Amino acid sequence: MPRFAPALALALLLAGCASTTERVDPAADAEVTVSFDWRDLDAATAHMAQSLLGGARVAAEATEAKPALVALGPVVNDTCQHLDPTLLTERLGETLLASGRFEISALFGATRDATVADVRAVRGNAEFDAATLQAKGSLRAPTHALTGKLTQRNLRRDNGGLRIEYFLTLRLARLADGTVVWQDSCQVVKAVAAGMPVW
Amino acid sequence: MRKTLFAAALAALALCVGCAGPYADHVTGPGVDDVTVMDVRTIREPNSLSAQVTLRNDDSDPLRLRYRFTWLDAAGLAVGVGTPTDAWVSESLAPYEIRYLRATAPNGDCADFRLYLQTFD
Repeated sequence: MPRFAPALALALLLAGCASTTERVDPAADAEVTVSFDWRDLDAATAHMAQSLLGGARVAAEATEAKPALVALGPVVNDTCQHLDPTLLTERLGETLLASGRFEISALFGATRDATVADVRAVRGNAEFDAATLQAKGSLRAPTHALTGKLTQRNLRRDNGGLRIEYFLTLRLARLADGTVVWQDSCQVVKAVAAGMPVW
Repeated sequence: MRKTLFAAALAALALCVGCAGPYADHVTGPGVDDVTVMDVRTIREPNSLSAQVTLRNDDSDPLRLRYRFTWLDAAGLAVGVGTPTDAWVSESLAPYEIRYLRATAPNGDCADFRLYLQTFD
């Protein structure tokens, strides 16, 4: 048996270890990517949540005694990436619900729940106990809509690299009269060296 | 000799209390030593509670820090853990800059808060 066989076996073993999957701790994850990743999503929603909860006009029309019913409308994805922008509004929806001052409508928008309509489509079906069916006229229309846009701009740097700028704008509109009662924006800017692939 | 030891212990205790600062109940974390906490205040409104912590970077170099507000109800239980109001926020303070960190509680049941500060190079 050649002398270098154990060393070769060890090298192969170590090489194998290097390719294993790792679980990333989100609290200690400092990796920066060129994409609009979950860290950017978290930071953006944190900023928006604080802004929305602290908004003076919002405070006047969304109270614990009379919560605003919000439809999570579309967030336009004007970036070159394949990402689901409803993640933003859904994450923000968690904050709205936890505040006790807002409710989320399951009837409209990007987070529409088809089950609400499905359970009404079986009215008259003899297989169902009529007393358990949802009554007509029980649905509530939303009072507000939350919509937005995520935009990406790629700018050439002097050193040949790129700056990737993401702009997120969200707004809350009062549906009764179409007035915007809250709006805020935030930006995430990243820079890459020349030659790095960017969308 | 005993009196001298007692005086030394008292002085050390006073020094430690001094280190903790007047806002140690609210502002914690390893970053506290790198900034001056100038003021802490809370504002109670009908449906919410807001907090503002005033920090000053006493250094001639910029300071990068991240912070996190944790909100507590009247029983001392954390509220809104895992939601966007519980997220880390990164900031960069210019030399000698005074920064006002503001946050609104996740709901009206909140009674108090803790701010955790971390600085990094």
